[in-house]
Amino acid sequence: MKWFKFALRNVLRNRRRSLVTIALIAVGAAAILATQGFSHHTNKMILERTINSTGGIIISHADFFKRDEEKALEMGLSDYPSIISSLKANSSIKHVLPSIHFNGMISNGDKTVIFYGIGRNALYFHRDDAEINFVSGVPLSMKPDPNKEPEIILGKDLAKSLKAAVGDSLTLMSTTANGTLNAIDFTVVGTVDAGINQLNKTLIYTHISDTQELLDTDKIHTLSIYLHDFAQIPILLTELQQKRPDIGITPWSDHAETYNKVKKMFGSIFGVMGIIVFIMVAFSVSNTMSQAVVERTREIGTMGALGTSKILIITNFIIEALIIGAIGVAIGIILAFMAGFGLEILNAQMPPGPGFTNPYPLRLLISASLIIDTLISLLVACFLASWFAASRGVKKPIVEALTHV
Amino acid sequence: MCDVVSISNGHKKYHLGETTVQALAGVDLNIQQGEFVALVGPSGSGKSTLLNVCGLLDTFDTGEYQLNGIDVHKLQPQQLSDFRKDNIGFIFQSFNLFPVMSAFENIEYPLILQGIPAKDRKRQASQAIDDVGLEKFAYHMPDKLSGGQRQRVAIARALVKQPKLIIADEPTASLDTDTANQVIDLMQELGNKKGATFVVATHDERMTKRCKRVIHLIDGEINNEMV
Ligand SMILES: Nc1ncnc2c1ncn2[C@@H]1O[C@H](COP(=O)(O)OP(=O)(O)OP(=O)(O)O)[C@@H](O)[C@H]1O
Ligand SMILES: [Mg+2]
Repeated sequence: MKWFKFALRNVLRNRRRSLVTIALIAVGAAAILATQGFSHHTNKMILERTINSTGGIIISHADFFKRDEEKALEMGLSDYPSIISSLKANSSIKHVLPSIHFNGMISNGDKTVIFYGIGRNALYFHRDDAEINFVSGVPLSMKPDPNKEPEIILGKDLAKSLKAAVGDSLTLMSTTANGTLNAIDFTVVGTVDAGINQLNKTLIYTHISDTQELLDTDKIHTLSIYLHDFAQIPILLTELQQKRPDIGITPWSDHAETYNKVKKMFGSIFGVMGIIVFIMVAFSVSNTMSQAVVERTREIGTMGALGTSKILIITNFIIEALIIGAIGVAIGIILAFMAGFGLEILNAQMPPGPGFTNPYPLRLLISASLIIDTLISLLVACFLASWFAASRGVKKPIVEALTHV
Repeated sequence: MCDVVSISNGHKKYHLGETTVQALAGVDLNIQQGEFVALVGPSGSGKSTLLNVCGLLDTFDTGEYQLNGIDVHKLQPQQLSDFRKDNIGFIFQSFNLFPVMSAFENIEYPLILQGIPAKDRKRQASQAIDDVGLEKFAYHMPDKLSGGQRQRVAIARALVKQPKLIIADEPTASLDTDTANQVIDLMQELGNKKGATFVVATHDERMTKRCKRVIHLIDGEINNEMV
């Protein structure tokens, strides 16, 4: 306590210099918190969107994600109804939804283009937290009328290219599971913005049952498990993997290319940023403490003469640096929160990334663990820098230090 | 009575580039418990050098030095530091108080180093500040004190731990005549009262006149000793 008091007075002794150092640490801490906070927020947003779309756990044929199919549904699951019913009892699960991924040609009679199709359960669109951006029309019906043509949803640019609107009829052609060509007419019920240019040009959604009919199969490709709580994902994953080692049971992150890419990019950009701030803080604190050490050479000599151990003298300088560091980081935290609040109020948006269609909110997610990491790493910088500066200071022989002017 | 300081044949050289300065050339010196010794001599005669060795801040090149019966030349740097902490007080020409500590805290400092519990420490420091007549200035910072007051705080800081030996290198050189006299009186009075042993380097006539024992150093040798 005594030493803390003396250190604090020493910090206040050269106020201007301490303030400059504190300001620099504050800016550095705020920079780390803001950039990391932005990256964490973006990651979290992509993560939530991804899990919302793919489900947290994906069940498939063991090889489905490993190689391409030579025939449609060659690597499909046929016992999926029993898998679904075995998961019914699990209370952490919200939905288990099947899908089929398929390709083919789509035609309006005049023009024929290729499509990338996903056969889905209508519930996928009707989930209360579904995030599907309809440009026109409605989702696939929960109870489609068996007497009407099967329903289809188009990517908005595909609809444009086929000049198709809600209510129009289009023909899908695809190769069936046993290799023959099949064609079925569908009626457009809606168009969507998938958020990605390439998808908007090719994507279609159809009912699972209609898809199976088109492909002449009773299999599906994947079952997506949607959970109430993301935290349950790893637990359920291992449980299922142990129960069914014969099929592919994978977490969403194995298939979230965008998420993984963005996360990696942010990780490297902001990792460099953190290192730069760390070095900047270390240099500035080392500079400040070195000046203090030189100015106080005679005091250091006097402390030594009175029998103060070198470690204790060094510790005094370290405490000073930690005080400066802690005040700086505290101010940095306030600055970062103010910046986050400002972005919230201004409702700032980031322009869409390359290949994406929608801007996204620019927000900062400043978590307790981010604050603690920043605090600790910058205090470590202060600690190392002051230790370095002070241990050079105490090397001078006491007799010389005492005659220093 | 046991000698506090017992030095025989102390030598010390300094090298300045090509030239060698013989700062101490065969010093023999014995000082008894409770003595108040003035060390005089022309500038460059080796007073500070001898005091630094006596105060364990420096060492002879060759020679014997026993402090309170202990062969201090055999101690490691950390042991020397601990020895100073417990046994040696210092009074400097320019006071060397810690500017971030009040008068009282400066006096407490040696006791903090010794790890004396707060209650005892406060009591001893209060006694020491009373002894130098500065109880009213206990909470003043050094820059709010006059030169004489600062040196009195320094005297209290040196005496508070009741050291075996007090080293003072030109303690009055920064003070005006009246203040210097008061400081000399105070050191002698407290030295007598506490039975402390003082070695004081000085140019000051006022000091030598009042000392029973004056040691003359010339060119690093003790020239003549008057009792
Ligand atoms: N660090 C040093 N490096 C080189 N020479 C030194 C050093 N310290 C002292 N000397 C030399 O040693 C001799 C004795 O110096 P010392 O400081 O002990 O004298 P002094 O009696 O205290 O003088 P003063 O009355 O001026 O304080 C002088 O010639 C001085 O120049
Ligand atoms: Mg001298």
